Amino acid sequence: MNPILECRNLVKKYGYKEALSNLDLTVERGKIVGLLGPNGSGKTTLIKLSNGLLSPTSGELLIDGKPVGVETKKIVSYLPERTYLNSWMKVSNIIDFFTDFYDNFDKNKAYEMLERLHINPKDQLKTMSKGTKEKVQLILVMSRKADLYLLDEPIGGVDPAARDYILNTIISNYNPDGTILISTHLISDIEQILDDVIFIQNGTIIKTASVDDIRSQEGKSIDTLFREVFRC
Amino acid sequence: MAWELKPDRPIYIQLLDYIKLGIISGKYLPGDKLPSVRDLAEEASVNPNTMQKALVELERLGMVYTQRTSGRFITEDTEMINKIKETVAKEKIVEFFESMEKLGFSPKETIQIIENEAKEIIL
Amino acid sequence: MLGKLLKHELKATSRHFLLLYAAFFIVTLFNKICFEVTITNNKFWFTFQNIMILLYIIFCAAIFVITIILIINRFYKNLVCDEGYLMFTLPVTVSEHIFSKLLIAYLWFFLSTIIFLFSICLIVCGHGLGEFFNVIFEFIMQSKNYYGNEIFVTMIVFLLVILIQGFYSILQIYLSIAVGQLVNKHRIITSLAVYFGINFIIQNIVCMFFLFSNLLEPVVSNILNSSDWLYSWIHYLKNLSLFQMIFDIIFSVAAFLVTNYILSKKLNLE
Repeated sequence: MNPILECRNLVKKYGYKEALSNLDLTVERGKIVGLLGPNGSGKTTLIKLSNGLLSPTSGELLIDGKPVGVETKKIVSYLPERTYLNSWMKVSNIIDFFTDFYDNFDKNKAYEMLERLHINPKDQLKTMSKGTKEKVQLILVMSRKADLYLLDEPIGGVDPAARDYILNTIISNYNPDGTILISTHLISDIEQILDDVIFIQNGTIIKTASVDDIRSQEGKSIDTLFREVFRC
Repeated sequence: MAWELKPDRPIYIQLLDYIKLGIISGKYLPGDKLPSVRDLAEEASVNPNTMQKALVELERLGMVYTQRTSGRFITEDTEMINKIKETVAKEKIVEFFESMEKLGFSPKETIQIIENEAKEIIL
Repeated sequence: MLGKLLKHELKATSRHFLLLYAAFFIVTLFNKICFEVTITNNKFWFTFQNIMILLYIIFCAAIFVITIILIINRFYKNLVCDEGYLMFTLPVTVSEHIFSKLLIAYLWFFLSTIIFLFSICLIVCGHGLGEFFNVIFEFIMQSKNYYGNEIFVTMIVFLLVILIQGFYSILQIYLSIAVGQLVNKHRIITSLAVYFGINFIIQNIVCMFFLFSNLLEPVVSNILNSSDWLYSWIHYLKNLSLFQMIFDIIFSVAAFLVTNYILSKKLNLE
């Protein structure tokens, strides 16, 4: 099967500033991959290019061998850093919304996960705490049987218990045909669930490797390596 | 509860060691059925791929075997388990002696201390 | 997918509009009662009635202003703010997004107009409303007798222009918002500037067109010289409306295409 994400000579400019410079990347299926880099390195830009919120300035970005469009959006599930849901809606409304627009959305799974967290589907989003809202969004995203999950800083700004919940949800919803791409700078928490890591800086990929290879070759954790590589 | 994993060694090797320890210590009895890869991964809070890698390696070492329809089982070869138990014990002892040497105790001195301590424990 | 977007759009916006209409209905009823009740020789009541009429007029204006504000707010909040992160990652084309918003916004605009007219009729009912319609009807019948069906054609064209103008107005708003989101700061001011800028440009285009196309001259002189002033006037209006309609269609399509391009290729959510 072809790789789920391919970038060839990908360039993205904002005015004169180059956010991504001739980026080449291949991400295989069935992996949990960490996209790691300091702030402003291009992580969010790459994710937005993959889900269609941005268009490349030049170069190619293919999802499942196709350029980004309606077809790829069907198989990409995106979790942004922010709340993207209308706070007036009830959880049940949002679930109906997702069911309507996404064929691969599993309604029962979503309700199950909500129940385990004791979240009442009749509640309006605006009555929920920030942490609960984020969990709802995560549940929605992970209840889709997508080929590519794009999680942008899923554990940032969240308490340690919630972090554990999020990591566990990612692991337990992992499907061997799907790839999960997690962009983060909180590496030590997330290291042990990653297969591979991609180090990005100033809009270029500086290293890709598997977590185990790095640990056995360098004898360090990814977190330690990150600090060395991205030393200020 | 997540298994305790160190950040500087490959994860799959640590998982392997953890399960190996479980087999030797009797937490997993010979012939026991192991939980599924996914369940084990969840228990350990790791990537199912990594857990799979560990299990495959354990299989290669002969400590677990797969029955195609029923899943993975701990080996019933008690002789092998005992041999491995001994090997691990020896490794731990060597480690211990090395630690004591770092503190400045020769192997002979170390044994003396152990004997003294043992007497106190028995009493 | 368009159907689903329409359904969702309707659900999301009906709450606000129905509330608006309910409030307007209550105001209308209240005014109707005030209007009908006459307490003779009571200065206070008289003053009160006048104040109520004034408020009613303000409310009538308000219903349109609020309708437009709701339309603007819906587009802005749902596509260009945080919700855009969800909307633009749905497996839906940008044109489907614009189209669904346009159709539902138009529906509300249309309903607001109908409700406004209905309200006026209700207030004026029993005070010459019947006569008013009679006069109009007579006029139309007279025209038909003298000039044939030209009057009907003119009326239809006139109506069509108003209908199409509705689409264009909304699209101009959408275009302004789309251009506004291109910049990172002062988005709202940019959108406003674009909106009025477009107004200015269009008025100039239309003006130039009429000035240079000799459309005005013969018509005006025709009207002044003709023996049948009314007929010429009706005829002139019909042609004017036709041109207005063509312009509106061209501008609508242009606005749609540019908005579509901006939101597809130059999306700048933040």
